Amino acid sequence: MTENRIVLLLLALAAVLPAFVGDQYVMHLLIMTFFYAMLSTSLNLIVGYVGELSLGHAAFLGLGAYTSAVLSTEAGLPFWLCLPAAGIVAGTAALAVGAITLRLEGHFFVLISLAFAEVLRYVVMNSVELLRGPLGYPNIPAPSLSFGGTVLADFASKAHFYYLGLALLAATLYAAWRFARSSFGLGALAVRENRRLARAVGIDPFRHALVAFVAGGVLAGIAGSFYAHYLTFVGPEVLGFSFTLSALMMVVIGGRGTLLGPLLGAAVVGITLELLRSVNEARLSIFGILLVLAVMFLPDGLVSLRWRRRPEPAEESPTEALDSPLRS
Amino acid sequence: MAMLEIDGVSKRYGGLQAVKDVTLRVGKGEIVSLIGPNGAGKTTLFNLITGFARPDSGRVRLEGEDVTGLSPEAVARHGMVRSFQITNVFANMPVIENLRLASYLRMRSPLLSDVFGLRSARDRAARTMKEANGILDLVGLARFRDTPAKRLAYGQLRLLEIAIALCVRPRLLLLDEPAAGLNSREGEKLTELLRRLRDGRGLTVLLVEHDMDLVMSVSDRVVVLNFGEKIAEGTPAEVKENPQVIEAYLGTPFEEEAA
Ligand SMILES: Nc1ncnc2c1ncn2[C@@H]1O[C@H](COP(=O)(O)OP(=O)(O)O)[C@@H](O)[C@H]1O
Ligand SMILES: [Mg+2]
Repeated sequence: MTENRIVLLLLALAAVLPAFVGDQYVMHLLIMTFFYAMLSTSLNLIVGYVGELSLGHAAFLGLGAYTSAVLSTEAGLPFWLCLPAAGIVAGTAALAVGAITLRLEGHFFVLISLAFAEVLRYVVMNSVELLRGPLGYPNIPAPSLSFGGTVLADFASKAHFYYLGLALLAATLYAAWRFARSSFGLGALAVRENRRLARAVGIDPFRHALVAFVAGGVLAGIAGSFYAHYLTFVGPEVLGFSFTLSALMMVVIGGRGTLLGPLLGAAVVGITLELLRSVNEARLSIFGILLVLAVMFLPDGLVSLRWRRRPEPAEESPTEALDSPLRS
Repeated sequence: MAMLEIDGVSKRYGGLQAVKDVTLRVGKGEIVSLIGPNGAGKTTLFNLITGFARPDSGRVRLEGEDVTGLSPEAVARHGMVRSFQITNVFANMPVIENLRLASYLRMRSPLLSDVFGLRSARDRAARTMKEANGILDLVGLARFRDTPAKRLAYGQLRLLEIAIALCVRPRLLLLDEPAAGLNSREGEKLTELLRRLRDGRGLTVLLVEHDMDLVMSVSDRVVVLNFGEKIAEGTPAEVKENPQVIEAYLGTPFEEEAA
């Protein structure tokens, strides 16, 4: 079974699941899994496909969530307008940040992406007049779907959010799939595999990283909008590092640069995170350790257990040392 | 008009003058070899021409167009494509996938038509893959189409590197020691391939090579570098009789070395 088919099968299973699940808490876990799967798929575009480590992804999630919160509570705009606006605001920010920082080599990009999110969180925390500071935005209205005066879905029940989340996740996966298959995905893959050779055959690493970064920003902003309307509250913590770290763990544990990986990662990590709520302080430490173990023992993630994109390295490979910069 | 004109190009690394005021021309359809002892600045000169390093001074022109200081990717788009002295392929990918990635410039289409999978983009991809298969035949790697590059033997890897460069459809091909590590039979196959590229495809080649049999049999002209400076230039016959070259590089008259 190909990776795409498995993803489709999982989505189809998810579509019929509410018929068998009545438990509201389980529904909530699944909805949050959809959210995390969107977030990690968006991060995977830059971390997995281009190979640039972005530690500021929560910034785009937060920008999307705040855009939705402000537009719906202050301006009274409906969810269906807030959602694209969240994507546009987050994508524009990604364009600005990426255009400046993606030109920087390696570590600088990592540090500045992190600094960007942290500065943004600090600014929001301290904008008490403008953005309600640490109070955040409560009572974000639920979406409502109506047609010709008849309300089709009022989102009073979890099932409505469940299908909204599933639809947004499917759209996110479709976008990521098209990206990976496009010539942009091809160029990004070349850059990740061998940056120097990619440049020698005419591929511009900066342009590819920027496109992936902006696409990832848009998708994270949309995930943020969904998050805001589902949980009905947005505060400065959506800009916090723990969201970036969670998404990063999902991408790495699931499998970088694959469609299925972030999905599996979101399911495994997201649900475990949720179940570990009782040991709140220890949660991230536990996951830090899991992340290290995953990188050491399963560097290509859960998907590599069955669907290896890359062949296993040959033991006596003649070119093993050839990528090493030490050889000259 | 010459294919490549290098005018007074220099590069200094700290206290070391790696390339010093080098001027040379490569005519269209020529195979020109660049020889010289290790550390003479041959690879550095390649880096300066192809945008991997910036010259301190001097100009580089490709068919009259100034390409000095452009980025490596921009230089490749102008049709000047290099290989690397240290083997450099997409090691994790199968051979054919290496060529698909290398054909990127021709696969690429406007972002949206591509993302939405329009017919024009698909046709282009199909044509490009056909050409990639042709290139595999040409370099004799068709059998290894689906072999991961990291499993190839050394000689096959060097051919793959040339195939990768050819996928960019270069006007000018720069090869940095393509025969290093090849056995004599593989060396002969490479000589044959270079001739076919020049005569069949009208390709211009600038070659850095230590294998004197290959250099002498395939080159139209030979340029000699020593300590970053050009010390001689001429036909293979002229260069191997040049006393300065013999002293700096060949060590003994060429015939004896080859024997
Ligand atoms: N990036 C660099 N930084 C410092 N020194 C360099 C660099 N690149 C090359 N050199 C030096 O320049 C000289 C020429 O090297 P190179 O061009 O690799 O010679 P060749 O290819 O002819 O063997 C060597 O002494 C080398 O150490
Ligand atoms: Mg060299």
